[in-house]
Amino acid sequence: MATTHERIEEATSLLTPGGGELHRSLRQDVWRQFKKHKGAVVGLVLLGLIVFATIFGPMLYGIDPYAVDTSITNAPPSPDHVLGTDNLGRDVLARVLVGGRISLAVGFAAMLFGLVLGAGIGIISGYFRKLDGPLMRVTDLFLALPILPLLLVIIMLWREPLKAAFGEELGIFLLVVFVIGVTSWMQTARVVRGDVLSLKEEEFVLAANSIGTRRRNVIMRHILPNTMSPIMVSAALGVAVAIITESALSFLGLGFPASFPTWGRLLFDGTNYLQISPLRSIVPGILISLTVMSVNYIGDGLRDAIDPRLRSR
Amino acid sequence: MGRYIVRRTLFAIPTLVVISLIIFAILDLAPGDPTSQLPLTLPAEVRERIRESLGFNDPFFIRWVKWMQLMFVNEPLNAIDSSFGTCIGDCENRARIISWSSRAPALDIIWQRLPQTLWVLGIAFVIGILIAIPVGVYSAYKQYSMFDNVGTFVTMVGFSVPVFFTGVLAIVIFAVWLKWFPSFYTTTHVVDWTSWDSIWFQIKQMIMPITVLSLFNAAALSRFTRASVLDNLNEDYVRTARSKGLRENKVVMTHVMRNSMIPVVTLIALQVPGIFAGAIITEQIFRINGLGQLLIAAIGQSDVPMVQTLTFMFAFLIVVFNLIADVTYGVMDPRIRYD
Repeated sequence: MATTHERIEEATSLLTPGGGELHRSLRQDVWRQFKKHKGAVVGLVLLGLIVFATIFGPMLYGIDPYAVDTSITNAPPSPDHVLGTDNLGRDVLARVLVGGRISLAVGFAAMLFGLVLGAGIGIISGYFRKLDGPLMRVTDLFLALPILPLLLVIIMLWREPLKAAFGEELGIFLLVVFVIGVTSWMQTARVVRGDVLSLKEEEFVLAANSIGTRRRNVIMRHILPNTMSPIMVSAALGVAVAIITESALSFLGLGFPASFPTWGRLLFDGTNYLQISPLRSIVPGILISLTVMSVNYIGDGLRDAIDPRLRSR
Repeated sequence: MGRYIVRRTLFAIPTLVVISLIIFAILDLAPGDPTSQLPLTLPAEVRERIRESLGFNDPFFIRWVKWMQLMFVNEPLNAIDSSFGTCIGDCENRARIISWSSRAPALDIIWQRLPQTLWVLGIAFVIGILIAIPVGVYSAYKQYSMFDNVGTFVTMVGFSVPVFFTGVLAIVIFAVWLKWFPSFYTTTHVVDWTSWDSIWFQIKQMIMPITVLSLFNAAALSRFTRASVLDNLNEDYVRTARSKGLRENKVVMTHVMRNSMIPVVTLIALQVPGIFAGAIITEQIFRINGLGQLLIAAIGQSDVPMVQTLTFMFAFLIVVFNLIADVTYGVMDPRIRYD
């Protein structure tokens, strides 16, 4: 619940056009509101911890995730191997930590790609009336495509050529990021377009146009910064979708090859050993779920903090 | 209203044509070859003749139009003939879409696999709706209550945890440790309705996939229902209804529900094609021999006609249910019709 004082402050900050000091205070207001959403704060902390663990964890833990030791296959958790070992004697925790790097990298890269594509298409179709019709038809078309079957087919077809062109790891990475990004930009485009359509009629855009600001600058300086809030919410949700899609692809055996552990791949590989070492599947599964949940909570918190209608509730 | 429906339907047709072109084009790049499974001793010129007789050397657009003819003319005619016992035109020699790996008409195989998918996923979908709507409505009505807080957390968890993890977790707990249910689905089991054991076996093997999927469906839907009911509870017409002395029950169940269910019903219609997409993952976890499993197998064998048919069927369902969602929205909310 926002206090009356905060609401007045927010209202004045919205009323004052281009005021440097007050403009920042809206951002602070959003942050203050965001901090009140307990789930979002916990999510942010948790996501930070997971990112930290995957970046620095492998160095701190110090066990080679690729080292095969057939004398200790499928070992239960022990002081040497905290989460036990897999069927080739590789340390499960080390693999989970390294796998998180790829999963998170795919999640963030695919989100960025989809976001740039979606925001770009949204701004163009909102700003240029002639392109609006065709671009929105394309968006509708993409929304009607059966995404998962097509993803599977595209990966199946392009895996070999890209592997040959960029090497095994980078090739698959680019392919997965590309296909997830290309199939997840539509909602962002729609939301951004809606915002641009109303921003275009605002007086500050009229003012910018009337003093002869170039179109590119009107878009970059006046329109784009004002569409940041829906873009940020889309970004949070985009990470969740990308991580789940990548894991699903790996789970179906069509994502990264077995030699590059991602969380989805580790979960999938572990399903054949559920009776012997269930931790192999459960730990990556929990990490996927925790990451997605934190990101979803951050998205919720952002949406509540940005939407003044929700803020007053 | 009639004009609205006609306009929407007419708009769906070009969408389907373009989607079929996209699917056809993507799959046309596939390395698959119908002669790849023939014996290697086959001379090269015979192989070439087979390819030619299958129309493999025609230009892209000719093949696409021929495929469209198979998909939109021959297969529907065949479906009519086989269900009514008629014979329209040259029904003996009518060409059909043939799967490369099983050499049988693709739609016949799909037809055999459909019941498995529909039984498990259809029931899960219905149960999901039955859980989601009461939970969503009640937690919106009692916003910030204990029920709402717990419910919101549980739906967030259900919404974030992917099905392929809950499925695996359910198998570990209920099949491996507790041994309550079988860990995979026996599709060859024919339910004998006179034998209690046979029915119980079927129920036992359906419980895990249905629970996992229906909880996932319910989570997303109840979040949406809650938001929609909350939007309406603060509207002026609710205050009016209360102030004129209507009973609370009537206010919520009649006035609020009628308005807040409009987007929910639309979302339910939009989610129906998602059942089949969900089938791909769920069937893989529980080894159900349905459509999703068929698609994965066909992709693995580069069985192009089968993948084309299945993917196009998914696309067709999406377009049709988008249309249904649009029309129901138009029927329930007159403001939409005049856009």
